[in-house]
Amino acid sequence: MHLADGVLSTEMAVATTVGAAGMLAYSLYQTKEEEIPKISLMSAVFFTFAMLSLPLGPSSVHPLMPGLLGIVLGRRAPIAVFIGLFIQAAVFQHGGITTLGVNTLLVGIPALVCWQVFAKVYHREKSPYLVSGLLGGLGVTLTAVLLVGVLWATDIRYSQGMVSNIQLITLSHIPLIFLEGGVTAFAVGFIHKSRKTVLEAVKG
Amino acid sequence: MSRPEAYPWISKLEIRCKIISLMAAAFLLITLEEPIVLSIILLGLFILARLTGLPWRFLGRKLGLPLPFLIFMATPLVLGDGFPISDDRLIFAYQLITKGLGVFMLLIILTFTQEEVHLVEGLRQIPIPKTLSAVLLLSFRYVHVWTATLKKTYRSSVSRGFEKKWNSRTLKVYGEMIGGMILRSLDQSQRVHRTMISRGFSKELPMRPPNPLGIREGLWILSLIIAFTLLKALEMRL
Repeated sequence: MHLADGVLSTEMAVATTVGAAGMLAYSLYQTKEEEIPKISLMSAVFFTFAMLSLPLGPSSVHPLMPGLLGIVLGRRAPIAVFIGLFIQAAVFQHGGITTLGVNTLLVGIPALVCWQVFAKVYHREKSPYLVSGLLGGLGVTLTAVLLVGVLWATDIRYSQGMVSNIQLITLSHIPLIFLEGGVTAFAVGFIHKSRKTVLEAVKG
Repeated sequence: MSRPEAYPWISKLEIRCKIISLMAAAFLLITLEEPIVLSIILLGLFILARLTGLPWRFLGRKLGLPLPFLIFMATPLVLGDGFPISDDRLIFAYQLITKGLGVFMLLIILTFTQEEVHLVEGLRQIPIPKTLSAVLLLSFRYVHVWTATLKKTYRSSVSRGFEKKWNSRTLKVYGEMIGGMILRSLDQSQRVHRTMISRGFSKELPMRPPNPLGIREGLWILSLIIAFTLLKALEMRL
């Protein structure tokens, strides 16, 4: 889930906005001209799938895709995350403006971690289903851990009580870990079968 | 959801000025804590939204978007510690909801008082890295293409008996659909790049020069500063 405006304290909103700007500067560094259309189109794909509401019991979830973005875009993944979230906020009023920084960090950091791990373990002769499935799950797990950390650091009341926000958020992310692991495994598996060069390019 | 027809005075504001001032207002809004002040702001933003020509029904429908998220966050804050509910938790939940709705109203005013294309143009006129500006413009264009593609793909899957539920088969369908879209988008990005190169692209997409700032923009910024100062003073007195 994305944090809405009003959830964060001013200090946390400013700190995460500055943090996200730093991460974006790292991602934008030495971007080549030919990468711009690729990042743009992937931002649009990320945005489209993040708007997809999938039924889960009485509620619904939407894919976060940090693992898949990291695997496909590598170091440039946070740019796609930021642009996707910005368009969601500005056009569809989904997410928030004061929380744009934190939401970018929540998906961008796991995407960078997944990229680093995938770049180390991927080999064109080996099936990537297991690795990418685990990374899809790891991406959501890291997002949930960061989200819990941000809420805990924002205000202790988010973690207090018999049924706290942090408990609910943790519970709601558990099914998403498995769903996204599965979706990422099949998506990366499909790309591996169809065009290995796309995955090899991320290894750098 | 369709865009309202009329865009009166606020649509005439220079777009960069409107974007920066409303975003600054969003950050200033979340610094406020007093429930009475937050209620005044929310009421003021409703009045401002009405003055810009946004219909009640439209506003009501739009507010249905953030409310479930805000209620999801506020309910454990109010009820999570059992009964009796403490004033502290009630006030915290109220702050969360009013701040959330307040910033949302600012976003609505920003988004629906000019055409989407002008909003993107205005965003690009703000000094941001050239790469980010180019990615933003291209992404805005392709979002509509991919949304339409996804809808079409989903409709054709449903017509072939695909059910929207979770099992290993649907996971495979969703995964391969995403994988396929990624490959298509990569192919398309190469075509787009070739076209851009042939038109002399070098990291920067052409844009119109920004309109100069005038008295209207000065008055707008001044009124926002006065309103925030008064509200902050009121909060300090309460």
